[in-house]
Amino acid sequence: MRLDLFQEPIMDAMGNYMTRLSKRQQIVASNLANIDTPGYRTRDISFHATMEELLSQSPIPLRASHVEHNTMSSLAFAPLEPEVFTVSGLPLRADRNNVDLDREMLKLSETSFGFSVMAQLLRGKFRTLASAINDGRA
Amino acid sequence: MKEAIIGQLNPSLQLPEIRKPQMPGKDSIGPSFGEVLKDAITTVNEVQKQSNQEIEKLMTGESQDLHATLIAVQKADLSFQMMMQVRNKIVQAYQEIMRMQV
Amino acid sequence: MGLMTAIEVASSGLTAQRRRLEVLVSNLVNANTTQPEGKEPFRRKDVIFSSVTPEQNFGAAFDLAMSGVRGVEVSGLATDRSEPIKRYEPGHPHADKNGYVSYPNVNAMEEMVNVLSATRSYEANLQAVNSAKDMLQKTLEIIK
Repeated sequence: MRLDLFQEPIMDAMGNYMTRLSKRQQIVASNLANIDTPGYRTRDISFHATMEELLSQSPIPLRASHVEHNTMSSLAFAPLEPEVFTVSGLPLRADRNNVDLDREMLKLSETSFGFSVMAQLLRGKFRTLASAINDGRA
Repeated sequence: MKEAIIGQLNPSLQLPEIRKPQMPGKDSIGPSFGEVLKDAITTVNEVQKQSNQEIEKLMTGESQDLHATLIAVQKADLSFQMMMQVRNKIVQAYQEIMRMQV
Repeated sequence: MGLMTAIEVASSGLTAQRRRLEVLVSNLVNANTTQPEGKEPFRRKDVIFSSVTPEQNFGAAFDLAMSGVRGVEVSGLATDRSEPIKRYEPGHPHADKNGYVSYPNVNAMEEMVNVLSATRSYEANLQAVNSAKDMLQKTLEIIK
C-alpha cells in the first residue's frame, strides 16, 4: 500500500506557480533597482503559466493503466525555468533605459497578490486533507 | 375574483396519490449504505476536480475571475465536509443497529 | 531562496540611490564654493550606475547570472567637465586679474530635480522590499 496523500498534481503545480511568481518578483526588483542604469532594458516573465510548464513530467512518460489513473506524476521534478524576455514597445529614455516606474509598481502588486492567493488556496487544500485524516473534524 | 382564479385551475390537476406504506420486499430494497456513500464520494470527487480546474485556470490565465475560483474551492471544501458528516452518521447508524438486541 | 534574492536586489538599488543622493547633495552644498585663482574649481559630479549579478552566499551565482536578475551598483563617479560660471566680482578674494570669480557649474534647480528623481527611485526599491517581505509573510500562512 502506498501512502501518498498528495496524488493530486494540482498541489505541485500551485507550489511551482508560487516559485514562478517569486522569480517574477526578483525580475521586477531588478528592473526597479536598475531604473537609472544607462542602457538597461526592462525584463519580465509572464504572469501566467501553462500547466506543462508548471508540471514538468518525468523523463519517462507514465502510461495510464487504468482510466482513473492520473498520468501526471506527483513526484516533484523541478519545473522548467520560466523564460525571461526583454519587454518591447516601451519608450526609451535619453539614457537608453526603458524601465517604467508605474508599470513595475503595478507588476509588483499583481505578483504579490497572485502569490498570496496561491498561498491561501494551498492552505485550504492542506486543511481539507487534514479534515479527511481527522474524521471530518476540522 | 376567486371564481376566476379557480376557473383558471387545470381541472385535470389531481392530488398526488397517497402512497401506501410498503413493506420492504425483496425487489424494493433501497440503495445500500455502501451505495449511498459511494455516490456521495463520486459527487465530492467531481466537485474537487472542478475546483482544481478553476485553480488551473487562474494559473494559466484562462480565467481572470478570482471569485469563480474561490467559490469553486469553497464548494469543494464544503461538499467534502458534508460527505464526511454523512459518512459519520451512516457509520453511527450501522453501529447502533449492530448493538440492537435481537 | 527566491524572495531573499528579490530583497537583496532591491536593497542594492537602495544603496545605489542613497549614494547618488549623497553626491547630489554634495553638489548642492558646494554650489557656491569658490577656489583661489589657479586652483581647480569645484565641478559637479554624478554617479555611474551599472547592473551587476546579485551577491549570493550559497553558490547560486551562475544560475542567477543566467536568470536575468540583476542588482545595481555605483561603479564610479563622473565629473561634469563643463566650464565654470564666471561672475564679475572684483572685490572677491578669489577673483582673477580681470575681476572674475569661477563659480562651480552647479545649477541648483537641476540638482533639485535629480534629488527628487533619486528619492522616487529609492521609494520604488523600498516598495519592492516590502512587497517581497509581504510575500514571505504570506508563505508562512500555509502552515498556520
